[in-house]
Amino acid sequence: MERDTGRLNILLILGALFLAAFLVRFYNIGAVTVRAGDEGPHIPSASNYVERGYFGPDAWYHPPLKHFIHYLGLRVFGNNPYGWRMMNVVLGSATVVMTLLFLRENLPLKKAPYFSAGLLLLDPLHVFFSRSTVEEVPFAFFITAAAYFMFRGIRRRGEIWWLLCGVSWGCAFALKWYALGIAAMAVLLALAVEIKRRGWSGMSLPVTYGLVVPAVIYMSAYIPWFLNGHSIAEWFRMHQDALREMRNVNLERFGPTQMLFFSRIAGASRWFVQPVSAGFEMMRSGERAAYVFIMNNLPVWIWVLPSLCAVFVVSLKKRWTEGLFIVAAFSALYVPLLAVQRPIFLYSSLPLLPFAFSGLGYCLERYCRQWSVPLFIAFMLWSAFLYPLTTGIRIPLAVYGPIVERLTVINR
Amino acid sequence: MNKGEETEDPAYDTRVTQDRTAIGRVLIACALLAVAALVLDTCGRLSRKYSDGHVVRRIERPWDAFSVWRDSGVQGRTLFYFDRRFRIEPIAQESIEHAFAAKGPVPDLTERNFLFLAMNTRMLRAVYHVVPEKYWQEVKEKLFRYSHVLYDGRSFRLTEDGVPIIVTTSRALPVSGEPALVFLNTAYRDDYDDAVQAFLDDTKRTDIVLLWNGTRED
Repeated sequence: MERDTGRLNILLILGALFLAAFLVRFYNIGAVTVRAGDEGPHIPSASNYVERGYFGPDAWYHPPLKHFIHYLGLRVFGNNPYGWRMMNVVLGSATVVMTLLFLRENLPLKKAPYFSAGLLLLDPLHVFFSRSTVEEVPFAFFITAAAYFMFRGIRRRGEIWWLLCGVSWGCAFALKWYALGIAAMAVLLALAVEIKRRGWSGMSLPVTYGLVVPAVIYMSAYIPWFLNGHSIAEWFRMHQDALREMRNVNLERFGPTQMLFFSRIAGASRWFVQPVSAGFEMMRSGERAAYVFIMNNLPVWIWVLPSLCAVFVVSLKKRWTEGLFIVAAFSALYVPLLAVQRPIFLYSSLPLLPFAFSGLGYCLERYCRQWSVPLFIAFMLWSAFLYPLTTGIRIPLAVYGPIVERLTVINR
Repeated sequence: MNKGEETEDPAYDTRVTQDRTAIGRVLIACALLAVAALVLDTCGRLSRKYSDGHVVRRIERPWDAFSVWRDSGVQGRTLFYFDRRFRIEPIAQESIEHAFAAKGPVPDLTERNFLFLAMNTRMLRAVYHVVPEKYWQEVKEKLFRYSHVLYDGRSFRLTEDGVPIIVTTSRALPVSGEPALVFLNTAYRDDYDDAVQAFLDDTKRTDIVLLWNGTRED
């Protein structure tokens, strides 16, 4: 009976969290009635790919699962601002819930999972892109889901969790190739745990659901392309072409306005130590104006790297595998982005956020003790204050003027 | 324990069962992966559609090629494009959807975008642009400027939205295991060697050969 009440409570909390995240992301979503930014190429590419196996006009060298996600949105909600953006609203909100589930499973603290999920719920960057079509939002969802299902599978030993884990890794890899690092790290961890527990036969679950099932899912994402007459040999050749094309991406490919915009949000090394922003003034009338900014939330993000260092030290001292996983997951996603030669833009930080805020939530509860709740509330109030700047809501310049002056307005 | 002797150790039995389950699981998963690859490869090859017979046709305008291919029902094909220049530009999304959904004239179809449309409506999956030998040096100098173009010593490989475009000469014509579509600007016919003529006449290597009386751009 007590267990049933507990389960009901957590379901209510998860439902409330999803609803709150959904409302924050859904509000005013139809205000921009034209396709903005990447929506321009993303929307036609969805039908081009799913119906005809053609990658364009979007950057063809990225894996194609995003086209299915966009296409589903168009079919369910229609070819309108809701159809374009709703899938990210739903998956962005689900990422908040999945972050809570992942941390409830893995953090030895009670409040920290809620702190982390709360920070993600109102994070200006995550809110902004959950109202767009960029694939980093579903990507963040699938890697968080895969990590959650993997630990669930390790602990509960249920094959269904492993299957969900494999499907999630497959979906993540079919959205972004840089899932490879974190997936490889997770599979190695699962192998180590399972072999220790069951001997060599323990290898079968991580191998099956960490390698083979994701590979099948990844290949299946190319079905419309295969139906254009392609063979498996051509599929491997196409991947070589895609890698070569990706290595040659540079800012000179963009037009002058785009180039200015992207140059302001380029550079992965700046994300957690410097303010990064670029945006547009949507309207201005007297003392009120509306803006949309892509920006990091430096007063919160600045604590991410020190927090993760603290989690790393604690994990080593206490031999805390889950803590090590959080740090390793963050690093497996971040280090390749730091090392790569082509320009990397701020939205690529989205998949890092569930793990970044995991470390921050942990340190808030563990080290700030009685100050943890007031600090968390302060972070949330600050994030809520920034909310209108990412959603095009009219703001009084008397209040927001000093902040807007410090941000990069492209059309100022 | 002697060979053939049955064990009464339940832990041993459990371990044997676990091992068998583990091996079975991995084998089934690997079989699934192999079957998935085989099915995709087979579906891909089977979705190529060819013309019923070997057809040689003259067309008045380059973009008439699109209607000929569409009326023949070809799909998933390789095109050999014989001309000095190769032009490819995008066409409006509305024209693509119109062309895919309905027969009849396609709005805004031109010399510069008919290949793009054919790629976008499942007809072409690869294009070989065969350049006359005398213009090869000029083409090489131009393509060497682009870092994303791959040169293997005989031909260049680039892509248009993922569709491979191989720029080569008649000396490096690949041997293909399937009949190809051909587009030839007859103004440059004499600039190609006998191998090209043999290729055009070979009913096993080509099925639709389109001849366009274009002009030389010398």
